[in-house]
Amino acid sequence: MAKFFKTAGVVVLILLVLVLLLTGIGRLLGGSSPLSQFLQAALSPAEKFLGSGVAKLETLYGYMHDYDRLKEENTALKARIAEMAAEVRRSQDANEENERLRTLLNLQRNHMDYVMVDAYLISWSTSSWSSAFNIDCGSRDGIEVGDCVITECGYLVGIITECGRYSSTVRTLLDPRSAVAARMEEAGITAVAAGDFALMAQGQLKLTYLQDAGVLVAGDTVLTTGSGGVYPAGLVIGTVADLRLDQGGFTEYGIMDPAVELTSLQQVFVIRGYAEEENAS
Amino acid sequence: MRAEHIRSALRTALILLVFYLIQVILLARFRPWGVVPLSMPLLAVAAGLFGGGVWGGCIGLFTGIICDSSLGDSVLLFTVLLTVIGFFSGFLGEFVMARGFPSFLLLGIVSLALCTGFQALLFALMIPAPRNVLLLTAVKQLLITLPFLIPAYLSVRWALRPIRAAKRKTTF
Repeated sequence: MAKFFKTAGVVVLILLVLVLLLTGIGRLLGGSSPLSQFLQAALSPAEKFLGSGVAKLETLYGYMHDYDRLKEENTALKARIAEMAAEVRRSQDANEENERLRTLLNLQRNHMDYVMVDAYLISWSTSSWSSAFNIDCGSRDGIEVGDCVITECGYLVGIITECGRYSSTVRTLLDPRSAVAARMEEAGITAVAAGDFALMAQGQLKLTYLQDAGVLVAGDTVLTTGSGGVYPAGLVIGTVADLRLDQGGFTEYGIMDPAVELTSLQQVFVIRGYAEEENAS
Repeated sequence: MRAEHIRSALRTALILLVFYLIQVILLARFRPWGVVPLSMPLLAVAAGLFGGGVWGGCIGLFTGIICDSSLGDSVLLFTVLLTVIGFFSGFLGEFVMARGFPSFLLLGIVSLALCTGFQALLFALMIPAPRNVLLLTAVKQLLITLPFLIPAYLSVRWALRPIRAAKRKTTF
């Protein structure tokens, strides 16, 4: 038994110490572990290729499985499209007027100040304790830790928490460590939209530190305030779903649905920079 | 290094890759019960049981690095934990337990409970969350990983067959 520990134990211990040293040096130098970076670089092409295949299969399966529901949805959507077409026609005039007024006032179009990089999702984190995913852009593309990530519609997705040379990790809004200063569009009050472990599995967020919970309306759009300098102002976080009381029964908090549909996410945009002074509200 | 060692190492690398890709591409995307199964520790246990302390430790080390890289929230937890688990599985397989499925089942469940427990503990230290929710997540993760016991056992036993055969020949 002593021989086992002398021979096998020493070999394993040396290897472990080497790996820990390498990782420690990588961390000290301010990046992610070199071994982790090497693994990411080596495995991400396979993950990306297989991931896209699985996504296609998933779509195909979804079509077959949800045929009846899709048919009903299709009919409802057709009616909705007709309604919306009429609405578009009505709003076209207003838009044209708006455009003219914008030009007149020499205002910049919304978000023209954003410097963005588009990125594709490689893989989701395999942890049950967090909500994060990897994207195929890194420091090579000018991305830095703390950069904000959005969808093509301007819905907030999360923030860059780890940045390698070729890939980065995005922590989503749902992660219990996420917190964003938020503003209700209709009610006009501010709050903090934060990830909550109990709500993470249901794909929802918690609205805490509500200024005045009484004026909170279900369906109200929640936007970023821009304070703190991490997230630009005016990004859509989601909509208010419910108002609840905490365990003590004294403090009210809101439940909100994020605007972004994380499960179907494939492409995201990383905001590398924006005009902070003009955006913060 | 002998030919059987190289053959076993290549087979093990293939199994690690397959398990990793299944975990990252399929399971992380679908999240059955809202949790992701953690099948990689089972490979370290099986490697220790069938290959001995060095194999268990080394495969545990690689598996741990891969796990830490794909989990993203545990820094070095799995690198250390799976190395130790793999090494001690080797020790137990050599001196205490028989190298069969019942031993693997027992060690597998204990190692999964250890890993999940450490994950929950680290999480609880960083973020305040209700204890019952933490416990429920841990139990769900443990239960949903149990079906992976069989493929992990069979595949690692197949991968390490060349070195086991060589060992038997030497002993004989």
